[in-house]
Amino acid sequence: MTTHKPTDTQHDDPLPGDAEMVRLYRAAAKDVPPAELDAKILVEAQHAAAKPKARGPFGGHWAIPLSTAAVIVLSVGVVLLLSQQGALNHRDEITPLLSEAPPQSPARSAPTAPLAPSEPALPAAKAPAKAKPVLSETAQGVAASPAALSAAAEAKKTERTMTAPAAAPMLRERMAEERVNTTRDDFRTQGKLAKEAIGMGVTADVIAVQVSGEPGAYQFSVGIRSRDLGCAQYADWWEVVSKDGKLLYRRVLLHSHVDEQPFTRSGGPVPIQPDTVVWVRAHMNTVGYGGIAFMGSPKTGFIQAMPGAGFAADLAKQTPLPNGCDF
Amino acid sequence: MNNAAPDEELMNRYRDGDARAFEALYTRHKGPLYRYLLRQCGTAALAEELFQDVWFKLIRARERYEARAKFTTWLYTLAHHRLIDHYRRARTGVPISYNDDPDEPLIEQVADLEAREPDNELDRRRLGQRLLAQIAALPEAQREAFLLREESGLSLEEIAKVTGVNAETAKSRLRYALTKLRQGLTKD
Repeated sequence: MTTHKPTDTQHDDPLPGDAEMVRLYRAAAKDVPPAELDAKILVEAQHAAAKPKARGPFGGHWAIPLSTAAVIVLSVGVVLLLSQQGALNHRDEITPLLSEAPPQSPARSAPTAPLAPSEPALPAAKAPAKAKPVLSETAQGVAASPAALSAAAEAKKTERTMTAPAAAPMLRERMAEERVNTTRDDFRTQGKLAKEAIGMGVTADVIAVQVSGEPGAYQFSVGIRSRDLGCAQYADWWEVVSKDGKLLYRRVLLHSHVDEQPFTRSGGPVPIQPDTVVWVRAHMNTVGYGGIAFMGSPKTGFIQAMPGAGFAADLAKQTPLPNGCDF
Repeated sequence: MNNAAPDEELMNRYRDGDARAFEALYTRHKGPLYRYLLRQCGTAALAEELFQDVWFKLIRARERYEARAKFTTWLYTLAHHRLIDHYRRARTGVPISYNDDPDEPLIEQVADLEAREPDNELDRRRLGQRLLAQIAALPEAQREAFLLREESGLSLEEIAKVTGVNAETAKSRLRYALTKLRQGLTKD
């Protein structure tokens, strides 16, 4: 029995161990993530670093409460402003689908006033007076304080949300008061039903296929677009199928990709030869197959194609199958 | 960029917008973290999925990062939570080894592995593969303790913190793991 010999200065615990075992492990365990995954994560990190920071005088622990307060302040302020100036009478502010000529937006031409950098985050009662300028400053490119810049980032979000979900209930009420033309509602309803009827957006579509590796053990990298809503509706696998409908490889997906669309996942080895023609298709946990697929071979490359209706549909029952959905 | 800078300094720089600091951190930790996840979930496809999730979570949480704890403790806590979350949502549930104390008698007296050091490179490679098979056969909680120690270099206290158990439990898991691995390697 040997005593534990730390191989790392951080291993300071007197536990039984073997330096030889550690050496063996380190020599045998050399796995690293694929280069494409490295690239994807580094791009994500760069993209995030390039975004405006939420930190400022009220950064750190105050960042979230401050931004939340800013959203509330701006929301209340903009709604009050719109109410005062009669903007809510113009329903096309939120209903561009109704195709009426849009009137001038009073909110954008509101007078400006500087927002003090040390403005406390929480007193929402004073909100309306402070909310107006931040929106205007952002729109006009006026130099702003750090706090205002932070709030301005939220203001952009607020601008978007105020034209849709947040403002929608109030505006709908207003529209009801004004007896909005019912034929427009009918049109919307019909459009929605038509979309549902043809299954638009609920299938998992393959949008790209890349192949690397060697004959008999190819790695596939498959791009997928799917309208994931969470575990209730998500693309749960992609697979490689032979021309005669045999399952050659399946990559089960652990979770939905609500915030990552389209997404790419790699898998393999796929046991085919350079000239073996195969289908690559994705599966939705709700409607199954039926989306856009790709067909081709490692030698010729892959192109978009649609397999015949019901092609190899029984593969949906073949293992491997998802063992749950993480989120 | 000072690539020899401590993890915490690099993470602080990344939090403040320096993408190159992240690259240095990622390069330093990607292999150990990937191997930890790979050995804990068994397949490369799953490991890649979890690996990406952990880094994306770290990226999204960067502005809340404060160097109160060691960076690796934070990173592996994210990874452990993601792994447990995955177990929990899978039909098989969280492995029982996370709840039970080791119940087998621990035979401490096993042959000294160094006494049978492999003679040549081929022997060494075979023994290495055998060790990986032994690691794969360990109960999940014990395997995790071993990997956290060997891959991330965490101390027992830190392993306990990452896995949410007390130091004695972490020590027990690691002790069992090491003993089983030695037993497995010395069997002929």
